[in-house]
Amino acid sequence: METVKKEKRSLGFLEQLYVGEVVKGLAITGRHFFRNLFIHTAHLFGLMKSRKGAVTVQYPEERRVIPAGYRARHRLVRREDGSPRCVACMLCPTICPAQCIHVRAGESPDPAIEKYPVEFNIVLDRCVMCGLCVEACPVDAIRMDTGIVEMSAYDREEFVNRRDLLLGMNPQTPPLPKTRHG
Amino acid sequence: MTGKAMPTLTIDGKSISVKPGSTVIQAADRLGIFIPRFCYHPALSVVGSCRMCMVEIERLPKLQTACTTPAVDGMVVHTGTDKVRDARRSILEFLLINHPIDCPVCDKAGECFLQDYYMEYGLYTSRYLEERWNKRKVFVLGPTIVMDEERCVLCSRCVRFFDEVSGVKRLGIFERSAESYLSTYPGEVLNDPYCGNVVDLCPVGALTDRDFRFEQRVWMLKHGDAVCPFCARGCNITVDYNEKSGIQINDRRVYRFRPRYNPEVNGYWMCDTGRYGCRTVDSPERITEPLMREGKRIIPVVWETMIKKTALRIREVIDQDGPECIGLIVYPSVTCETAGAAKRLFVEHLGVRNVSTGFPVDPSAYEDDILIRKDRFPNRRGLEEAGLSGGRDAEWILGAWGKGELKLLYVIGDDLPRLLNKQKPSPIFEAEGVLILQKSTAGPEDEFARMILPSVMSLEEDGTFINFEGKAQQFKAVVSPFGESLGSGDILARLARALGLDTETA
Repeated sequence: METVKKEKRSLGFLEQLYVGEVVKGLAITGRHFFRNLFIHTAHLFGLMKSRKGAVTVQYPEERRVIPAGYRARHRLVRREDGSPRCVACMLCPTICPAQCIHVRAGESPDPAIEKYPVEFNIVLDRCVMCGLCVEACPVDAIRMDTGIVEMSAYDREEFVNRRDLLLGMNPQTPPLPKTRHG
Repeated sequence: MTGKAMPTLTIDGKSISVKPGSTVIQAADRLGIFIPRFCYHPALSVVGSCRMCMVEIERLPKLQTACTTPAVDGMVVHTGTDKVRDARRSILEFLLINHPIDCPVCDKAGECFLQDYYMEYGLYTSRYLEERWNKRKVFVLGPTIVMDEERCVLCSRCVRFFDEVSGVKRLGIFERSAESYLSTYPGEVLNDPYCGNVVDLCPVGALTDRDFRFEQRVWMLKHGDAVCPFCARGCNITVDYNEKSGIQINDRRVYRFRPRYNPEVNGYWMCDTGRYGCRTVDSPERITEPLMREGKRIIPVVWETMIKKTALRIREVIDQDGPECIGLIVYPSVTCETAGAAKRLFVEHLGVRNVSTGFPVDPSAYEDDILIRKDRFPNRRGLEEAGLSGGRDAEWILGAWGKGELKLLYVIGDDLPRLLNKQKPSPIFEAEGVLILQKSTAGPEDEFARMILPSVMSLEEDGTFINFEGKAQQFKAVVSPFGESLGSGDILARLARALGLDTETA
């Protein structure tokens, strides 16, 4: 195999002093800083709206629009009569790479449905937001379309999302546009 | 064709000689060639009803069912030709006409014959246009068995099990052709002591076990080999368990016992008492840590303290009153190894003579010719072999204990019959002396105990049981010890060390 030897460019005397380079760098960051400071201050007074400041989103006052298909916090979908659509088949805990879903099945009063989740826990601090549970679900009972991206808690226990909490959440993000494959 | 000679046949290019009268499927099984089947089971009569085991035999114009065709000398069988695969696909197509295809909610999914075969031979696009028939869904056949008629493939394995093995005709297939269905005879309930076996027999998800129903998906379970500890037969079992790490809803680890084939002991079957005994392993009554009584309260302590205090007590009684004031009861629920350790420690080193191997067999207990024994302990023979029995009987020890003649009573092992039947009265251990219990599960005698040393159950330790016929069966631990419990032999060894005895011999 042929090896290519890369010549190392030697630094000149001024460059070796570093002082000049440091000043050059500071000038770049400083220019951006003062430019943005000026534009954002102007925005505050309702001026210069046409000029955009830095790309920084002023979170939490300002939020980015969550794109379609974004994997946010999970929710469980209900049937029309309000009961959970989940049939407790446990395919989501099976596929879950983080082992963060725990389901306990119970006998459903409707023999045609057979099973329903008595308990359904998603342990969010273990979750890796991969969305495989959504893909695995045969009845489209679990979705990640709540649009909630903030997940913080004071207590590990708070990360355990239980069934009724998951059932109570509403969809926020728009559904993915239909592709040719459906 | 020769009369009594062993016919030699060729299956898929491999030849084998079989016993006269054997069928093609038996020969194939011996060769390790798997022919799909629903109705055929080696322990049941042959009916040839499912037509799944069709094979092509040279010089015969039509496909033959492998389970009914006797092996003939010079026969050449093909099990994987296109014609055979076509036949299997057609059979499966018929079976799936009214099948609900609810594999995601079916408990059998993952170990279902129908599912496995369909993956291999199935016709993936349905050609059926008519309306599907709905049948009975959650139909209770007995206290332990639930039927789903839509999933049934009418193989009649369960019917034949009750007719031929369990001995009472309870199930039947009624009506004809497409309308036929499986049901109990009028007024009959499946309450045999062997009912659970039909769930294992059922090749599809038609019969499910109420104990295991919805508990766990089978693909999440790991399997371990064990010996059933709930009667003197010592049936070989497969333990389906799932020891998960991390956060989970139920702390259950052992989900199911299934019989494991052993022609010498239990054949293909096991009884329901043993089967549902799996609940005792992760029962909430298991003792998780060493407990010591201080006044009225029971407090948990660490093992080092426990062993030290126990040894101190034993030494105290021996020094003050002599070893004749110590009683030892070893229940036959312990392994031969533990029994040996107990004998070396108490009898040989401490000179304890009041030794008993628990209470005699309850003569009113149920027993039959199939598997179940009156003796609900697994290792009575083992204790005899270890030289523990033949001393005092337990009644004498309890009498002396009640009168205060014994100052210290050490009980090793669990009262298994009481563990399975909570109504069963427990012997009375109330007395002045020091009662030390070394066992796995809480019981009514605990309130009199001064010290409780949690030991493992038989699934959690290596050991040997000798069954009532004298067959020694060794087994390995399947799940890890519950809580902080230790192996019974380990506890005795630690005790011996604390008593200052040579641990090599004790």
